[in-house]
Amino acid sequence: MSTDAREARRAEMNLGKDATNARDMMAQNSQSPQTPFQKILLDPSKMLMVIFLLSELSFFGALITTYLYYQAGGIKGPNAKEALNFGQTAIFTAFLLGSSGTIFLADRALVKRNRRALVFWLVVTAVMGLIFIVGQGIEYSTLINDNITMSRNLFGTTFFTLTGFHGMHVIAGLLALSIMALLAALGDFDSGHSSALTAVSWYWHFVDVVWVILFTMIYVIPTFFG
Amino acid sequence: MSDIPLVPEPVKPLPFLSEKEGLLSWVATVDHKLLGILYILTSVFFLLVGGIEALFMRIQLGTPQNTFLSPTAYNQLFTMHGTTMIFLAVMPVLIGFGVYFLPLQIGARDMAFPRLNSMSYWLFLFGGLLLYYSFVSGSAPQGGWFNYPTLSEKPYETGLGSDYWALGLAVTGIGSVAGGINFIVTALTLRAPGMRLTQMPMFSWTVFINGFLLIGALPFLNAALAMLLADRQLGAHFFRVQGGGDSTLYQHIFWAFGHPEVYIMVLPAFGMLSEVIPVFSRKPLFGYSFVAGSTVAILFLSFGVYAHHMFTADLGPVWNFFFGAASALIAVPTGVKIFTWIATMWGGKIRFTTSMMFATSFLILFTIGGITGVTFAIVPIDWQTHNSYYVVAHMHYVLFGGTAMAVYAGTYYWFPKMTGRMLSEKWGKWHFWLTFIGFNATFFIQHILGIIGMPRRVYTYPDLAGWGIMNLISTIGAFLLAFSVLVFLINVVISLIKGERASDNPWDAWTLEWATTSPPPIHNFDQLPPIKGRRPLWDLKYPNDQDWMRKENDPMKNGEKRRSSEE
Amino acid sequence: MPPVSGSVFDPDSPQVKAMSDLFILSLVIGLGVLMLVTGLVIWNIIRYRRRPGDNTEPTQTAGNTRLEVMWTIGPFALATILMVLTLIYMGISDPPKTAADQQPDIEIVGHQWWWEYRYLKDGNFTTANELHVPTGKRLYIRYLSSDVLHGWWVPQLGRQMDVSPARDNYTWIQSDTPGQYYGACAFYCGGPHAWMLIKVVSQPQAQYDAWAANQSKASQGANPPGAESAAVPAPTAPANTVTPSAQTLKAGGDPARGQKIFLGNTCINCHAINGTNAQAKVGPNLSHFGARSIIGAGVMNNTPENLAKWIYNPQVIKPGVLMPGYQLGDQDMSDLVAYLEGLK
Repeated sequence: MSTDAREARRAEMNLGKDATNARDMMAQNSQSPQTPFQKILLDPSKMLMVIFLLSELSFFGALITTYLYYQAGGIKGPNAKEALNFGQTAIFTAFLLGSSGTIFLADRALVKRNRRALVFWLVVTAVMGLIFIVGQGIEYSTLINDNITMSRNLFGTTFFTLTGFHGMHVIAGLLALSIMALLAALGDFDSGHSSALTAVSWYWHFVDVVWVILFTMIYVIPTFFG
Repeated sequence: MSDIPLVPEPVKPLPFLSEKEGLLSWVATVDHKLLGILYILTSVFFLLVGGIEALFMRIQLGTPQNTFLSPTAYNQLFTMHGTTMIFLAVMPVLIGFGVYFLPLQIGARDMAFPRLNSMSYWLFLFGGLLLYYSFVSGSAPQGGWFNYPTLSEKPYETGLGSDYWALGLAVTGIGSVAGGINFIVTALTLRAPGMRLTQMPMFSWTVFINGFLLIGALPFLNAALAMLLADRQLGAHFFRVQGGGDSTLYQHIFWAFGHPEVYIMVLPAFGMLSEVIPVFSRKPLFGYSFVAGSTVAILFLSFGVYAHHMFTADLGPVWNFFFGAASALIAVPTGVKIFTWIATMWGGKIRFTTSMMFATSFLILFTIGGITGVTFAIVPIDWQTHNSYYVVAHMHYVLFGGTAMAVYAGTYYWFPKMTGRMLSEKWGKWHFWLTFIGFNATFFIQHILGIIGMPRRVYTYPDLAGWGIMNLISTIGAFLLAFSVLVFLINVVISLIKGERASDNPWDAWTLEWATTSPPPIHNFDQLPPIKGRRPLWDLKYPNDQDWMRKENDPMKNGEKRRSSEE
Repeated sequence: MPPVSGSVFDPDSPQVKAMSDLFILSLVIGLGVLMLVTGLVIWNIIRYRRRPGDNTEPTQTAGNTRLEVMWTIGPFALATILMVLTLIYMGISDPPKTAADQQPDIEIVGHQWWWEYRYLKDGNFTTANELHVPTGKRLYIRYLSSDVLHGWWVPQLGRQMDVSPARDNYTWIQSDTPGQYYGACAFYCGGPHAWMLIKVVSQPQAQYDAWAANQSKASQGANPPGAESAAVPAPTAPANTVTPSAQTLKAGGDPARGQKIFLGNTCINCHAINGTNAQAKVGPNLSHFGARSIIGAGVMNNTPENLAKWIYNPQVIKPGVLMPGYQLGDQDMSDLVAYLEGLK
């Protein structure tokens, strides 16, 4: 198409003398937000994570409701109090909760543009998450050796489904953390600002919060109040 | 700037596969317009598949004690018909229009996450193909689209049908959640400068609200599917009564998804109607804030009404009444919308294009579906009509008489924008009348069949007085309806090849998608008009009578009306 | 099966009367709304259609708060009225359960794909597919399922109720006029769900009592005279046809020999006949089979010819049914049919 035809076409559109050039418009789309509230809300990546976590809330809500429903109905066969080792899991829980703190430190390092500290804390976070997963693996193998499996009874069914889905979320988080650590080491986050990193840290906090709920529900309450 | 082709010549209405990059340009695309078209075309394909399944069912039911289909074949067909129409036809066609027009209507370059958008589409397609692979593997699901345990558990379903069903839906479901997130973020972050959230065109608003329904409801389905799969493949006991599980719990979780799903399938249709009716009546949407507000009301109410699908499960009078009352309440925002559209037409100068005819028929057909819907909220009536053909009739009045009619209206309205060609009005009128007559012939009589005691999901029925003839009428209607779809497809093909060229704004409409070329260039807009109100192109056309100048736009002060300047 | 099905609007019990009245009232209100909407739409179509040549724009009205509030309050008021009615009618159409431990009159058990009826008060007996009720008496029913979800629905007698494997449900049913009532399994239960029909026979109390008394005892035909001395049947050549024609049934089959055939085959793995060794509870109880009018939960009327076809190859008649076919020879089939039809 020739330039003339293009000009003619533009004249034909006739969007008025106040029309915005589309390039300017797109620049304005990503203009820096004014208030802190907008800063959080209007960043697409962070917003994506918040909304995704909302949908996760529905998912875990359904699974947790199912667990509680069957607990309330009374369970035949081994139950949480008999089958689970509170102390052992409490130690591994400490690692997961601690990793929420270390990722916070990573966030701080990001703002301070300290690449080495950022990578360090990301790796520490990932290692602590990994320890938690290993702990979960040990717990699973003990239970399976005691013949407590998904198909044993309703406790096995709900326990393995709930903690299993949580474990999968931790593993997904570990992958994300590893990628972040790698990118950080390569200097991608030297600018002191990364929506992606913040979004991953929010995800990691969410996984932690869910575990706090699960730990309270499955371990603490049966052991001390059951 | 000059190296970017400003406006493509509308030589070929669609970027055909033979062009430059060929097939790869479709497979690898992250452009919301191509993805929107892919969504729509795929859903048309599945619509045809689901429609053919329905025709087989209607042949079987045409006469009493027919042996055309075995019970197993019939059960597989109605299961796949329901699943296909809901998850692979209606939902994706609405998501497809949303993906295509949300960025255009808000003056954006693309969706907020184009690659996520592409992932959503491919998850939808492969989820659908996985579901249909069950036919190839020889064990199609036969538990109904709801797939209640214990029927969907081993030993009652020994094949892999339920597993294909659950996996296929989980895959499409994850895609839909991602799509929902994308809609919300796009609407919140990518509006053109000057456009407030409440100034988005109504279709964009409903797509935006639909995003919340998608992210809120589909995880419940995914949770139910995960538990069902654990039962079937890992020997868990969630819904297996023998192992202490409670199959009723599945119903609760499924319908916590299932009822919001109904609104996922109808809200964007409301949005389409709110675009079509104002443009062809030549008036702005009457009471925008009430329509927008009632959409939000539906969003919240829809999560609190699901147990009206379980009134026969004996939940007890308190629960029954609570959910009955909540269900009746949802008639209020829906009624508001119907009256709003009537008031929009009132005092207008209505152009009865095919699009407008579909929109007008929606008003009546959807009202019928709404009235029968209210009768289900009235608990004692539900106790009689639940699981009968009365429900089948109601549901098709809502989903076909409602959503499908609105989608047809939207298709005739937006086809010129998407392809650069007008759909033929002559074929369109035939299409409309065949659809209208065929639809009513098929489904109206099913109300009566339900009232005289015919249950749903039966592969055949005894030769009782009146049953045979009424079912035969319904079957004939179904073929008429199928013929109308054929007429529509012919219209699309003919119009694509030699349809009248569409100008940029053939309907003289007012929203931003009409401020660019037909079809839009890859980057959507070269320039945007100033946005001061909900109808930027009206303001542009009548600088002395712009929307924001009129006082009645202030909801507190109305009554003062002003003649538009007649230029 | 009766030639005419029961309509929701043809109630035979106070409960259904309430549902029917409320339904009609709601439909009348709904019709009013539909007329209003249709009328307005038609008025719009006629009055506000664009006239040819008129290219001006109409008055741009973007809303009217008073109107909008009105048509929000209108439907709300209507919904409120309907909900008050719902509250009133719910108690009539599904009367409250009395004491939680109240013994139900009848227990209805759903099976794939037939109904088991256990009478708990009038003699404690079990029958299948054909429910007899005393006219004018309100009966308390317990619903249970042995396998998957079913739904028990006889529109003229009472509300529809899920028959669930996970929980027991209860309701009241009643019939005020003697006669036969038709119903069906309402909830999809797989396979030949369509042939899980319900037949209810409403009888005056005296007739019902006689029927119940007879059901409580073993049928006189269960042990036909000469049964002890009847020779163990020699196998006869099976017929070649897929289903035997009526002619193959020989007149005057020997019930005593038929009993031996029944007890000597795998029939007894599933069926029970009181007074004999057959006591299995997997399939329908056949103790008084000859007195019933339907076979296979309503798929056929109970005639000797139909019964022979059914036994020969039930899969042709009700595909998916759990009963296997028995390709008996003509003589054996005639004897077996004579025995079963003699179980009055």
